[in-house]
This record gives sequence, structure tokens and C-alpha cells, in this order.
Amino acid sequence: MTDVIATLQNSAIGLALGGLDPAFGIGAQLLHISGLLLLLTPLLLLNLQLLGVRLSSFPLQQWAQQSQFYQWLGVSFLLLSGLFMWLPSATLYQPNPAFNLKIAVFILVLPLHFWWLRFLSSQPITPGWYSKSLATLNLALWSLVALAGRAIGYVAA
Amino acid sequence: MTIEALLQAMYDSPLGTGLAESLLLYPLVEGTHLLSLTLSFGLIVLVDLHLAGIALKSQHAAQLLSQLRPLLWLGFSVTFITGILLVFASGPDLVANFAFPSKVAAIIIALVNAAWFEWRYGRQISQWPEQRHYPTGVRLAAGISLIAWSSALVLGRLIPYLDSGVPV
Repeated sequence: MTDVIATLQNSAIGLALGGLDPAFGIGAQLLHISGLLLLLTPLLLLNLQLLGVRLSSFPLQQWAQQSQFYQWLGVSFLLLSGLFMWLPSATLYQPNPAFNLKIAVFILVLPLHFWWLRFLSSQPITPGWYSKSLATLNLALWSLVALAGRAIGYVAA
Repeated sequence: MTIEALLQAMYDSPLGTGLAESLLLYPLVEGTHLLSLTLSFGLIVLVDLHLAGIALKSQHAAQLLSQLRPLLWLGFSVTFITGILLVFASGPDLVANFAFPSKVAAIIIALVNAAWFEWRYGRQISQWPEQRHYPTGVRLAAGISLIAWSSALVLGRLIPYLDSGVPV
């Protein structure tokens, strides 16, 4: 695994990205935050309703359908900017426990998230223990992804 | 008391020192600051885009604002409190960092703009008929809000990259 990561880092793309002006790194971080906001803000409006907050301006099924594009856009921003930041320093990230936690939870939450979004889009939901549990789980996992991401810089590999 | 002295006193306080030296607490506060942006910045963008006539066109501003206001207040409270905690842990060098005073200025512009909007239009919103185009002043306030809050976000992200005004 270490060899594969080192090869990726030393690939032409990895080296080219690593040689870019630091302004591109800042741009990638801003894109990463924009992605997070595009994904999590519509998601919050969905999950908060399932947890009992009344938001009639955002009817569940309709909002789930309308916000899908923005949530996909958010995930694309996250992946693109994440790759941009990771590739030039992949071997530094690899032993970092916060990074590994972030990636593990991200891989877990992503299919769950889009399954959940499809489910909410496809039928009217009456909030109950089942939807409340999934809404809580979804919010908790995404929060963990964000918190682990912030911790990367502070946790020694 | 100068701003540097105030920041030094904050940094030297048990709270400032504790935060700066904590391996767990500081990233947790920073992460919470980031997450709270989904409620504060994310929702303000949604409201501003609606007022500018771009998003949620079928909604009425009065209903939208009345529903989102409690969440916005919650989001801004968490963002503000965690932001102050981050300042406690940063020390007096923060003033010399171009991005920090610029971020504070952007936040002040955004807050003055929001106060002006509430003062000028706050009581009228519920009387507005269903319409796709709000008055020019409303759209202007929405545009200023979008620019000011986005600038605050970008400048906040720049803080760690700028050391005494010199890009690293």
C-alpha cells in the first residue's frame, strides 16, 4: 500500500500539483469548504425536519429532490479538492490516524448518504424512530468526517 | 488598552493557554467553528440568493426568514463563540496578520448591512405581495451580504497562510 501511495505521489500529476504556487493550495481548501457547505446545508434542512424542526418552506420529498444536484456538486468539490491536496503529500497523510479515520468514515457515509437521499426523494416520509435514527446517524457521520478532517493538521502521524 | 495588549491578555488567560496547549480541544473548537458555518453561512447564502431573486423563487421571504431565523441565530452564536475561543488561543500576532483585521472588517460590514436590512425592511416583509422581484434595496442588501460573508470566509481560511502580512 505504501509503495502504491509513494508511486502516486511521485507520478507526473503528483509532482506537477506539488510544484504549483501555494495559492492553488488555498484555492483547493476553499473549494473543499464550499463542497462541505453545499453538501451539509441542504442535508441539515432535511435531517432537522426529520428530528422535529418545522420547516414548511422545505417540504421533505421536494427538498430532497431539489437539493440533490447541489449535494452531488458538493461531493464533487470535496473529492476534487481533496485529491488535489492529498496527492502531492500522500505519503505524509498515509500514517495520519485522523486522515485514516476521515477516509474510513467518508467511505462508509457516502453510499448511506445517497441511498438516504434517494429514499427521501422517492416517497413521502412520516418522521418516526426509524427516520430519526437515520437522520441522526447521517449528521453524526458527516460531522465526524469534518472534525477528523480538521484534526489532520494537529495529529502526529 | 491596545488591541495587541487585549489579545496578549486573552492569550495569557487560563482559557487562552489551555486552548492553545490542548491537543484535543483546539481542533475540536476549530472543527465546530467549521461545522457551524453550515448553519450560519450556508443558510445566509440561501436567504440572500432568494432575496436576490435567484433561488427558492416559489417561497415568500417572510415565511423563509421566520423559519430560518432561529437556525441562523443558533448557527451564528456557535460560529461567534468558537471564533472568539480561537482568538483566545491565537495571541497578539493575529493583528499583524493582514487576513484577520480584514475578516473582522468584512464581518462588521455584513452585520451593519443586516441591521440596515432589518431596520429598513424588517416590518414590511410580511406585507410584500407574492413577487419574483423584491425592491432594489433588498437585492442590493442581499448582494452586499453575499460578498461580505464570502469575504469573511475566504479571509478566515487565509489566516494560517499569512504570517505578518507575508504570504508563506
